[in-house]
This record gives sequence, structure tokens and C-alpha cells, in this order.
Amino acid sequence: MSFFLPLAILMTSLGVAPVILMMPDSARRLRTGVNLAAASLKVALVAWLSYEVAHGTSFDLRHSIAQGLELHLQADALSVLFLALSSILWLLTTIYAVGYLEGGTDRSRFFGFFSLCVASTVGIAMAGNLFTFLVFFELLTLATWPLVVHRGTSEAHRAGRIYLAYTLGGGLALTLGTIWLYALAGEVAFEPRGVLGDIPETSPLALTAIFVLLIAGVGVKAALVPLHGWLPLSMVAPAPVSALLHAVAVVKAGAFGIMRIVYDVYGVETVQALGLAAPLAALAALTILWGSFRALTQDDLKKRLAYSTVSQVSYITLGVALISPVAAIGGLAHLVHQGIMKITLFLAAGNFAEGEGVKTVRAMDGMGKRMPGAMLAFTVGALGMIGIPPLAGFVSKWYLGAGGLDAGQPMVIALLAGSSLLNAAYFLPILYRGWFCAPPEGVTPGRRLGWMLAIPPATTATLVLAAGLLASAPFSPLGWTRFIVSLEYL
Amino acid sequence: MIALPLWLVPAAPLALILLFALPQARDALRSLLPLAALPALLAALAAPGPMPVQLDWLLLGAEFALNDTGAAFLFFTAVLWGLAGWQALRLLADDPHRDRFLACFLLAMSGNFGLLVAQDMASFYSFFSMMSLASWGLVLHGSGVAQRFAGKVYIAFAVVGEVALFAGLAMGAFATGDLALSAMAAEGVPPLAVALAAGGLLVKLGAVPLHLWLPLAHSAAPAPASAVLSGAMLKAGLFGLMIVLPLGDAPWPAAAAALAAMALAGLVLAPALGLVQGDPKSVLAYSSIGQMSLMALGLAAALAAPGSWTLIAPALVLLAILHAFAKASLFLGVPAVWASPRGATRRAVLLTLALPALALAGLPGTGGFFAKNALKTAIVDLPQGWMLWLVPALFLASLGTALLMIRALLLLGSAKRKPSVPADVLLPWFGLVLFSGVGLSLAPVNGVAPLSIKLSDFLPVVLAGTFALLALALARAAHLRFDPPTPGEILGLFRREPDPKPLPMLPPPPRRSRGLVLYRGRLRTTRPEQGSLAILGMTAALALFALLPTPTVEVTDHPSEITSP
Repeated sequence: MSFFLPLAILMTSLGVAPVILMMPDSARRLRTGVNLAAASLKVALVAWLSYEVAHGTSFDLRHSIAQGLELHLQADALSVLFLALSSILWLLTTIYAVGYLEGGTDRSRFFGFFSLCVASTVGIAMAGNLFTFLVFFELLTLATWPLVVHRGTSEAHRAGRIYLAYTLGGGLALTLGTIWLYALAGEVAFEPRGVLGDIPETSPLALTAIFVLLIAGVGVKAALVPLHGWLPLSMVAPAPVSALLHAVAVVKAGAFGIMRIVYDVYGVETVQALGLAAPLAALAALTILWGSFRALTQDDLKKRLAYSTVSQVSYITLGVALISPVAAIGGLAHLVHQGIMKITLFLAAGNFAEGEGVKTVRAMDGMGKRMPGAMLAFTVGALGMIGIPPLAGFVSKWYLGAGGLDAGQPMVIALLAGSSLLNAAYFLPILYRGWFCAPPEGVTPGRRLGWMLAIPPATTATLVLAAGLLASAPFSPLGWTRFIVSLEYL
Repeated sequence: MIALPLWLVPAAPLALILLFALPQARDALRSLLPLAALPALLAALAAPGPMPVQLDWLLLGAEFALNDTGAAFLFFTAVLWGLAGWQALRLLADDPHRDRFLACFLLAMSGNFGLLVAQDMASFYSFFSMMSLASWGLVLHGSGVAQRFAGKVYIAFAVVGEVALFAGLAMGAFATGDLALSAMAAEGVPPLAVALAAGGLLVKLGAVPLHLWLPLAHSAAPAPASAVLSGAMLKAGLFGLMIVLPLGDAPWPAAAAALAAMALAGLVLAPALGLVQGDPKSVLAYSSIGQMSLMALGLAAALAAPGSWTLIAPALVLLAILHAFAKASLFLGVPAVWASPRGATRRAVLLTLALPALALAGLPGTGGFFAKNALKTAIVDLPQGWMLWLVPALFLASLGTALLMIRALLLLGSAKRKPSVPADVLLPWFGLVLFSGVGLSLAPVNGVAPLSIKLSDFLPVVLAGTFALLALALARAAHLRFDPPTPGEILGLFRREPDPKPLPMLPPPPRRSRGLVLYRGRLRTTRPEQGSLAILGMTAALALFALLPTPTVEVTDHPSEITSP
């Protein structure tokens, strides 16, 4: 029965996608019902899976395609972290997307690909070897493109083209790296502390080149500078898609890929021995500063949030690249924390646009009076991003800072301090305008948003608060990452 | 007496905010605002004190406890927040943004109470930032030009202070492996960590040159908010410093000298800059800088001569209590003056206000004299050279405070009546003045010696009075009028240039030849092919990076042989 749960979790979205794609656009109730039922079922199944994995059950699902090439789904602690994040946020994003888009056109197409997108994320999370990871990673690229261009405007198509150029280029690098590594090492399964055995001693140069190819491949999705250009442009997509890109699936898949490559393909000792950890950390540091720096000058709210993602996702990479268990805890916890904080911000920003037509920072005046609920959620998300305790972002920053010292890199503290200041510099003016500036003259009250748009950001904002306040409670994101890191480093 | 759970101290104001979410209950809840400070007051006065609380699931594992110093701080902090809250309710009764103010007020209150009971770094830092950030809302409340300027300066200093505190705490925690806040003072913590944490706290304390936010914020905020800012929140900086600095261990001359220099600068600058201000609240704020500098001087002395810390600590607590009550009485007195018509009422209010003013100036017989004397007698065993300037500095502090108090009272005396201020703002203020008299005897401080009064102790107040009379006489005789400078000191000298108006767009000239228009019309945004270019570039850069340091692994195989698995 060890194959049942992974398969069921995959099928709750992969099996549902064609069903939704084939529905007529008018079947609104049926589509919403199927969507929400599948998403809720998945959350329940993932909860079951987490319980089993925490008690040491192992899961395995294999399907051989050719000699030495098999699709392999499994579930380890790291999978569960990503699965739990994506399934809970997917449920909330689905509710939000139904409220946001059910008035529009091409809804079956949208929700079909939406499901496919999350199916790929699930596959990425449960991939048991590099080949399976690659398959789902590419599927994610293709499934996301129709969502990015959903609105069909020329701007959306341009963003879609650029998205494809970046991600397919990255996919090519990843594919090359994978083939080379398979040729060198045979089947590359994901195992804690790496699977390369004595190859690092025999061919370090090839392994270095492969590492660069693999990281460049997943680095596109993780928006590492200079591979981040597609992300700020993709913000033309509807708000639920932005949430999906920035918090649930795409960017997270990239960061998750970096973790898998460093921890479970190479292993931290090999990465360090090859001298690859320091350049990766330097790249992450550069991305953190550059993203924040670019965010400062953006007037478009979603663009500012997009550059903030560029910066914040690299905290995860930094935590991985510092090669210290403490930093790893920070990085892994930030995978979850950044997800819930950023989704809160994007959902709230979507509500500003939908309710009051506010899309720029300049127009944020008086939002606290106009939409108090959404503004409160936005505030929680923004303060969390800055790293104000007791919100989630503080916990990851604390561990990253301690991890930097642990790794003998005290500059990390300065980096975190600088990044916090930059974060404050681009988030606090928004809060100031929202809460303390009077609404512009003659502004008319916008449309009232239904519960489907109001509940998801409120829920995620509560999660941001809970993840920080209850950080030491069992089954908090921090508690779970400690468990994972103990497997990788002990 | 029923044992009060300690977590209730910060939780009571938070609970009130949560209940605020119910619109039906708001009217009733507002009047409960002063009561949110009650658990804190009870906890401070309880004997024996409340039991420590260990909450392993909270943050990084939180611990709350109340020691003697904490109880003394919590005592005046609770009284101030309660009474200031009462006045805020009266003062802002018709304000459209009242609920926003009250929410910020409650958040800051909870933070201020919480940091006094927090024993671990994470919860201390959480409460500290909650207080700092929520006070931003108090400063910005009036939403005028002055408030916007003050708000900007305030939040910039606050955020930089937070970040410094974070860095210091993180480094300290890593060095000792201990998350207790008191571990910052332990051996083995790098001096940089202590300096960073202390820097963050010194911003809150208002030490020169980190004080620029203070006068602006105090004069921009509504009076009750200024009262808690000055009376309670500045003391949070002092409280934190008393924990994180390694006081009472080995002497640390470098830090002592740096802190003493900051304190001296404050003692000189406060009267120099405060006397020329035209706003009574601003004058009071500068006097706060002077008083806090006096307390910083005590810390510096303890760093230089650790042996005297056991005497200095109670003296500092006493100074803090006195300043809290007196300064808050003065700030709450500002709306009281606005509410009273000129004539007998105004004179009565001003005469009552003279009591805390005289106490602050250290007139013999008042609590202020008692506290200052306690500090003076506590500072012993100092290295050679300190005594040379310490006595004049203390004298200067008293003289400066006395002058500032006279200036503030004169400005208040000539202040116009504001009909919009309801008369019942007088009640909480009068309550505080009364309480200040009793409060000092209630306050849980011990270890301070009794004293005798010498005639020379009257000198600062008498001198200040003479100066003031002379200055007034001179101004009247020579028909001089005084124009106060712009607020903000050095920051007030800068003006941001207005954004240039966008130029009207011209249509591009018709294209004649390709050579001249090489780049015109080219899109300056990301293009598809740049994606692959960027990947290539990064691949090359990473490869180069990776190849530069020779890998520690031996290269035994030629890379061309790798294709055979």
C-alpha cells in the first residue's frame, strides 16, 4: 500500500485537470465543486501523509520507462514540507481564484491548467530521482504559460513569451545537466547526503560543470539574479496566478530544486569540497540586495511585490548555500514562511485592484479606511517580510543570521540587516499611505468583495502570525524543518 | 491576594484590541482602555511578586518573570499608560481617527509592558518592536506637515535601531548559545554584539546623536502620547541597557568613555537647543534628552567603576521613576492649560504644573533632589580624571533642567486657549500630579541612603530663576522678539526638492537615415532572447567562479573520460 498515498495525492490534481478542461465554461457550479473537493481532499491526504512520514513510514511508487530510467515518486520529510505548503495554499488560492475569475471568460481552461500546475508541483515535491524531478519541472513550465497569458492582452502575450524563453532555456540547462549526471553516475535518486559516492574524487571538474548547469536550470525559476527578468513581467497575470507563481508553485519549485540538488544529489560535503557553496551563497546575497534595491523604485504594487520575491526567495538559497545546519533551518523554514507571507501580500493586492481599482503605490492613500480587512492582512504580510517579530519572517531571519555566524560568515548579519532596511524602505511607505493618508478627493466606494476574496488573505495573514508566534510548537514550520535538517546533517 | 498570571500583563491590552474587532462593542470597550494597565499595576505592586512563566511553545521559547528592577519600571509604566489613556479618550473624543489612535496606543502599551517582563531575547525583541512600530501611529496621528516629517524621522531611527538590536542579539545568542536576554552581559559575548544591541537601545533612550527623532516626535504626537513616549518608552531603552550592558563585572573603559561622551553632549545640547524652541512640548522633549543623558551618565560611571553599580542601579531606577511621573505630569498638563481660560484657572493650573517642574529641576525637598543626590553619592571609585568634569556636569544638568522648566512654563502661560479641548482632560492630569506625590513613596525601590540638605543645593534653581528674570527684563527693555528656529535641528535645514514636472512628450522626429537613429525606438525592457543570454552568462560566471579556487579534491581523471559510467 506504500504507493497509494503518493498516487492519490498526485491524482487529486493531475486526474482532475482533464476533467475540468473538458467542462463547458457555463458549468460553474460543477467546476467549482470539483475544484474545491479535490483541493480539500488533497489537504486531507497530505495531512495523513505527514502523519505517516513523521512516524517513519516510507512511500514508494516506481514506473520503469526504459533501462535505467524510471519515474519514481516517494515521500520524505522535505517532500512533506513542500507538499503541505502547496496543498494548503492551493486550496486557499483556488477559493480566491473562483471568487476572482468566475465572472470572466475561458474559465475551464484557466482552472484546468491551474490544476495541472499544482499537479506538477506535487510531482516535483515527491520526485524520487532527478529524472522524475525534471519531467514535472518541465510540465510546470508548460502548465503555467496559459495562466500567465490568460488575459490575452498583448502585454500578457509578451510576458508569456519572455516567461517561456527564460524557463525553457533553464529547462534546457537542467536537461543537459541531468543527462550528463545520469551518464556519469547512473540513476540519480534523491538520498540525504547525496548519492555520488566516490565520483567527486574521480571527476570533480565534470561534477562542477553539471552543478552549474543544474543550478542555472532551477535558478531561472528561483529567480536568481541575473535569471530573474521574467518574474517582474509576469505580474500582468491575474492575482491568483501571481500568488501561484510567487508563493505556491513556480518560484518555490526552483528553490526546492536547489535544495534537492545540494542536499540529496550532491550532499553538502561534496558541494563544499568542490568549492561550489561560496559562489552560490555570493549569488544569493547579490540577488537579495539587487531584488530589494529594484523594488524600491517600483510604483506598480504588484511589480514591487515581484522584486521583493526575487529578494526573499534567495534567503532560501542562502540558507542552503551557507552549509550550516542552523542556516539550513532558516532557509527551509523560509520556504514556508515566504510562501505564506507573499501569498498574503498578493491576495491583498488583488483585493485592492478588484475592490477599489488600486494598482499603484501612489493610489494606496486611505486604503485602511476603504478596505480595512485587506489592508490589515497586507500589513501583517509586509511587517513579516521586514522581519518584525513575532511574525514568521523574523524566525527565518533569526536562524539565517545565527547560521551565518555558525558558518563563519559574519557578513551574513550585515546582509540581513541591510536587506531588512531595504524591505522597510519599500514596504513602510505603502503602510503609511494606507493607514495615515486621507483617501483622495471624490473617490467613490468600490465594489464589495465576497467571502471568497476576503477569507483567503485573512487566513494566510493568521498563518503568518501563527508561524512566528508558535514557532517552537510541534508541527510548526520551524519544528518540521528542524526534523528535516537533523536528517541531512546528523 | 490572588496570584496574577504574569502573561496577563502584556495580554490585557492585546485582548482589548481583539475585542475592538466587534463594532457593536466598541463604545463600551473604549472606556475600558485605562483598565488595560491594571494587571500590570497589580503585578508591579504584588508582594510577593508574580511567579515566572515559562512558555516553551511561544516564539523561540519564551520566559516571563518580574524582578525588582522590572517591578519598579512596570509600576510607573502602568500608571502612566493608564492615566494617559484616560486623557487620550477625553482629548480625542471627537476625533474621526480615534479608533486608529487607540489601537496603536494599546499595541504600544502591550509592547511596553511585555518588554519589562520578558526574559528571553525573542520575546523582548518582539515586544520592543511592537512598541516602537505602534508608536509610529501615535506620532503620525495628527496627519499634518509636522506629523509627516516627525513620522519619517521617527520611523527611520526606529527601524535602524531595531535592526542594530537584532544584529546584536543574534550575535550574542550565537556566542553564548543562550537565548536569555541577560546572557548579553555574560562573558564571551563579542564587544561588537553588545555595542550593536546597546546602539539599538540608545536610539530609544534618545542619547545624542541618536536623539534627532525625539523632539520632533514629542511635539508632533498628541499630548497623552508624548507623555507615554517620554515617561515610559524612553525608559524602556534604559531598562534594556541595564540588562544587556556588562555592568558590575570588569571595568570597560572604552565603552564607558563613549557613553560618557554621548551623555555629556546630551547634557550640554539639551538646554542649548531646548531653550530656543517655541513649542512647549518641544522644550519638554529637550529636557527629556537632558534627563535621559543623566541616566546614561550613571550607566557610563558604572561601566568605568563596576564596584559602584550596586549603588548606581537603585539611583537610576529612582531617577527614572521621578522623571517618568514629573515629565508625564507636564505633558498631560499641556492640554490642561489649553482647556483652561486665562485668569484664575490658568494660574492654578500653572502653579500645580510648577510642582513637577521644580521636582525635575531638583529643588531640595522634592523627590528630584533626592534622586539626583542618590546618583551623586553612588558614583564613587571612579578613575582619575572623571571627577574633574563629573561635578560640573551634574551641576550643568540641574541648571539646564531648571532653565528649560522655566521656559516651558512661560510658554505654557502664554499659550492660547483651545476651545476644542474639553475641560475634562484636567481630571487625568490632576490624578497623575496627585499620584506623583504619593507614587514615589509607593514605588518599590530600596537601597538608597537618606540625605541632608545643604544651602548650595539651591544654587541651580536660584541661578536659573535669576537668569530667566534678567532675560525677561532685557527682552522687555530692548523690545526684542524671539523667533524660534525650524524644528528638526540638522534635519530641519534640509528641504527635499519637489519632483520635476514631467516634460511634455515630443513625437520622435521622422527617420531619415539609420546611422543617426541607432538606438531610438528600441525597447528598454527585457526581451525574450535576454533570457537565454542571461543563462549563458550566469553559467559562464558560475563556472569561472567554481574553477578559480582549486578544489580540495584531487584531480585524477581527465574530464573527457567521464562519458563512460
